[in-house]
Amino acid sequence: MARLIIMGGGVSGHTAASFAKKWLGNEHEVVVVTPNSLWNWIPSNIFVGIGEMTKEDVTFPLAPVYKKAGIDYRQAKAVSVHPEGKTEDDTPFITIEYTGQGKEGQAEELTYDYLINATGPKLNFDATPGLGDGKGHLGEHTVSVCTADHAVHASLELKALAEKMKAGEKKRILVGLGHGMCTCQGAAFEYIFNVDHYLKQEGVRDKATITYISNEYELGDFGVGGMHIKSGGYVTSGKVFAESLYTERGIRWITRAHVNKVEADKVHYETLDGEMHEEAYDFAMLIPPFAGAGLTATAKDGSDMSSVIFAPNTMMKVDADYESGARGFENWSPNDWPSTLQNPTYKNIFAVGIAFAPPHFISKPMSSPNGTAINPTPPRTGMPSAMMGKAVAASICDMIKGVSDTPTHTANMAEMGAACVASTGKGLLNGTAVSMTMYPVVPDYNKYEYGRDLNGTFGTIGLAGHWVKLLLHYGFIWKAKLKPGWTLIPE
Amino acid sequence: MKHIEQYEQSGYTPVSGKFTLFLRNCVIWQIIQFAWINLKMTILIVKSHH
Ligand SMILES: Cc1cc2nc3c(=O)[nH]c(=O)nc-3n(C[C@H](O)[C@H](O)[C@H](O)COP(=O)(O)OP(=O)(O)OC[C@H]3O[C@@H](n4cnc5c(N)ncnc54)[C@H](O)[C@@H]3O)c2cc1C
Repeated sequence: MARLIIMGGGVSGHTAASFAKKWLGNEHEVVVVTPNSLWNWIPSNIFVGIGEMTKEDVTFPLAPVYKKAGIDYRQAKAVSVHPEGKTEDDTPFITIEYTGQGKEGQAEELTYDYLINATGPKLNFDATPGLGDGKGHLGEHTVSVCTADHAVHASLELKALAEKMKAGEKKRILVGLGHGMCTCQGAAFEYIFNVDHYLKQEGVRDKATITYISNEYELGDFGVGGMHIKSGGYVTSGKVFAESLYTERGIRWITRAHVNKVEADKVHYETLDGEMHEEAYDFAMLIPPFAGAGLTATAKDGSDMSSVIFAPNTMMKVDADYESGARGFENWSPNDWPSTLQNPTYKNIFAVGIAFAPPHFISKPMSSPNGTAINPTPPRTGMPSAMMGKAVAASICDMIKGVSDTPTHTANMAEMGAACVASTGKGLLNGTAVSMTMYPVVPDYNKYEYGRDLNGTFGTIGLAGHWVKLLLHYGFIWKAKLKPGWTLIPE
Repeated sequence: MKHIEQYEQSGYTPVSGKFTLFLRNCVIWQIIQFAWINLKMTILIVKSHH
């Protein structure tokens, strides 16, 4: 009997665990180590953040789902990886620290035959002074929608703000990215338009100035170097459509910005030209930069060997070309991106979703004359993350069953597309969302004139997008609960 | 609300006309769009699985 351990039960880890258990059956063990008792459909946190959904609408308890599926669930966080075992025993293992199940604080060692790192992002609020509390959590000045609890807090603050506007006060709202090296622009994009929509519904939009602040070079970059789509006889940059939407909704934007300090009523930021600015606010939602989960690796003799399997930001090394970053933007190639997501040193370790270390950015690296890096880091959104989870689970199952010694499936961001539905306001008949697809995620200028296949890359805004968003919400929660027919819902 | 400010950001962007805005929430047109978006996304998913 082989044991597969999956560290992290989010989008990619839960997908990997569910498929692995289905394919391996009871002959082998599938263990999930994840610190939260609830699974969260993160994209719908946007609706929680404006009070249109509750925490209960976007979360469900994992324990009964894993019990039904026969998955061994440990409510714990993984702390360290020991790929060579100990001096007296070669069996690889991880150490975990329980966060629930009545064993809070207890440590345990779990041996594995195969290991998947799906620990997602560490929300690195403390990277920007004032954005964090100095202890790794969200600070007191701004709100966030990155977790369901953060989103509940954001909705309460927004509601209180709307009440003051109803009493005649004018308010300044700032939404965006809280650091020059952030990813996840899509979440900020969705939240700002949902705030705009919410304030209109509350009848107080005229009392608010809304500003977007971003590390993107231009609006519509989204960390993927922007995209071109065919529209009205033109091949047009997504920047044009994004700016059009911001203008239509009366939202001002600040781009090329690195927020370097957050105070109670203003942010300080540096722009790519090296100038320093301030922006005052009454309500701010700023996405933090992401880092790896902070796992360490230990060698057989007890010495630290984290740098062998982890990049400096603690994201895990996989089969990417990590030398390629230094070759410069002009020489980057789709071949730099990982395919099997297998660790090159330890072939029984894989990383999926945000936990794998990308070889370099997708957007062009930029820095100000002061040397401050200001550009988005590469996104790994829900669809690619889930696809990686499924592909790696399939490879590992084949390796366990003796079908192959090497991974049989790939999930390369240079060969896969991404579908994204970005809400711009909730409402069954008056809602809208931008529906986008891009193929591939990592542009290939040798193959495609505009970096991507113009037939597979499109964007449209309208009510249908909102319906798709709702369909995804209910469909993916159904799928994640492993309810009948869950395998028919595509990643 | 005045959307266009000369010599400001908003002065240089295309803005949607009334018909485009109407179509965005026109239920019949959006039902067609719904089918179209789902088709585009399905093709993308099929192309992306390796
Ligand atoms: C507000 C918001 C809106 C978004 N909207 C969209 C959208 O509309 N469409 C889209 O495609 N993507 C969206 N995304 C991005 C999407 O949520 C991520 O791409 C996706 O969740 C990444 O999957 P993951 O498995 O890598 O990480 P996660 O889903 O974050 O899962 C990581 C898991 O690992 C656990 N973990 C952390 N540390 C440890 C540890 N030490 N040991 C064990 N487990 C650990 C975490 O608790 C978590 O359960 C959004 C993101 C945000 C923040």
